[in-house]
Amino acid sequence: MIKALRIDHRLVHGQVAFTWTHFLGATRIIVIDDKAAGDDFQKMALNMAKPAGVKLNVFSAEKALERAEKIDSLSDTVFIIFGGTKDASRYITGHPKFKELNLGGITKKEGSTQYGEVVYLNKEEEEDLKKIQQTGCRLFIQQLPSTKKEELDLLK
Amino acid sequence: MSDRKIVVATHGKLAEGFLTALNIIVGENEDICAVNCYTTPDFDLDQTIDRIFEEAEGKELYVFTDLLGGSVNNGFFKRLSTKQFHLITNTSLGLLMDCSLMNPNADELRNKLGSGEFSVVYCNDLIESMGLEEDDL
Repeated sequence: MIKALRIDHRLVHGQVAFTWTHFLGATRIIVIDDKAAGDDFQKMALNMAKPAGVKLNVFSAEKALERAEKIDSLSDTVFIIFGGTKDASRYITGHPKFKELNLGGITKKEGSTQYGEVVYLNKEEEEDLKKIQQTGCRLFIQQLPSTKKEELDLLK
Repeated sequence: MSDRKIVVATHGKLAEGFLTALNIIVGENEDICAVNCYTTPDFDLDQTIDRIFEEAEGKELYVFTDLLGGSVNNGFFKRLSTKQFHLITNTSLGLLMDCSLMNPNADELRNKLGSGEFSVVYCNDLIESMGLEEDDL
């Protein structure tokens, strides 16, 4: 079953690999990120970053959608990480059944607005997230399990 | 309050540095405290260690130091003959993260350290041994 979904531009890193994975009791991490899926060296680095005993898959959004039903029915406790809003929007609008999406880290760029300590969105990213919200999936900003959970409503 | 106390004690501000890194990755944990040694000219290691034992009175104390053979570790090491506590040295961030999250007891800690999971790694050689095979799905 899918336990949680998060957008984090750093993909599998300390906070995700150890703290969230431990908190959620995740036994499989699925990274959905077009760029990482097409980069063998980065895939290898992600494999190195994952905690011992946890399974890992790295898929493009398209490949993940092909496997969506299968992912839903896994006996593992699954933690899905998107590299950015675009991959998240493609997956969630293509398979609209999720209740909430955690915004972990979305990097600052030219013309972006700050929404959280490490969450910056430009217009395009706001549109992606609105599409996600329209499927009935709520957005919340939270860096670590021990830090505050703040709801973000872009449709208001 | 938990019945366990973790003290990270190092030369200079490494201990504090470990704590700031832990705060970023794992979040705050009030069971863990940092002791920076030799940051002032009048620093007295034995007094500092006495104070740590006083504060940890009645608790299971885990002390993590930076260097086997360094004075901080030597200072704690000689107390092992008279005090009940756990002393771990050559500390790594990964090990501290694990202790913060998993709360291992002494035997579990022994196993973790024996597994090599927290040892120093030459990544260049890792590339050779790592394949690209993914877990089934």
